[in-house]
Amino acid sequence: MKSTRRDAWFDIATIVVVVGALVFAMLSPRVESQGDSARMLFVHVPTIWLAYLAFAVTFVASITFLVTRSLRWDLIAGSSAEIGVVFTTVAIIGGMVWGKATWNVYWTWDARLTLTAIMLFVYIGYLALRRAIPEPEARARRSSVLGILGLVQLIPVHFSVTWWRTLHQTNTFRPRDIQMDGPILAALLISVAAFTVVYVRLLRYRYELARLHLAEHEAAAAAEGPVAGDAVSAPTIGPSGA
Amino acid sequence: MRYVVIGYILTYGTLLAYIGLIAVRLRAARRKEQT
Repeated sequence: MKSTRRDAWFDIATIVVVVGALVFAMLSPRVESQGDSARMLFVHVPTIWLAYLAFAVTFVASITFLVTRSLRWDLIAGSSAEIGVVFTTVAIIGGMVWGKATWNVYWTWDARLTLTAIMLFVYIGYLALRRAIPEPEARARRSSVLGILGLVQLIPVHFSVTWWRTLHQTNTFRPRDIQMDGPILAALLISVAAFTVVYVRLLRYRYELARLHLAEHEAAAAAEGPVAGDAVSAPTIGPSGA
Repeated sequence: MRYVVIGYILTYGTLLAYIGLIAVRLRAARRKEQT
């Protein structure tokens, strides 16, 4: 999958959309209760949304791998998890800066913050597991189990602000109860769309990188040739082997 | 506003660094594939 002229146009369109989202974020009206620090909303919410999306894609791709046994799905799962880890890290860092501006502390052991940090470490563990197993089939089988189980965390992470009394505000975007002015909501939705496009482009290139690494691994394995003992077959037990 | 600027620089800076890392690794992998 080589980069094509179409890829170049998609990349340019992505840059335009991101710059547009930045302009909307800067031009959106000032929030009376928080001042300018509320503009962190336009990066903090899209980054954590993208983390959710990336881990959901890992979940779906892991299940699809177990059903189809096609390594292509495992590569998508691993690529999406790595992007999810980057977006979760960015969401936590951005949230810490916003926390310092509004709560006067970078970190507090609040349910939302703590559970998000745990989710980050679980997916770092998922990436570590993938690196620890060189054989592609075994790596895909084992990491797909963690890729499926990992998504369970998303439920307590997302609902932590309603299940427990937290310092973190309740969920920003509630489709049935929108309490945001039109221009602020528009800037937020444009930012979410822009970050989603960035995710799609990142996944396309990260998947290609994973595919090239797999091809390199397969070529190296083929070049090694037969290994001593390959010709020996395991004995069978039963009437035919007796 | 100071925290907003810091937050935006950290967010977009981290993303740009990651994009750069993928670009470098992808270029190296493509070059290796051709040889």
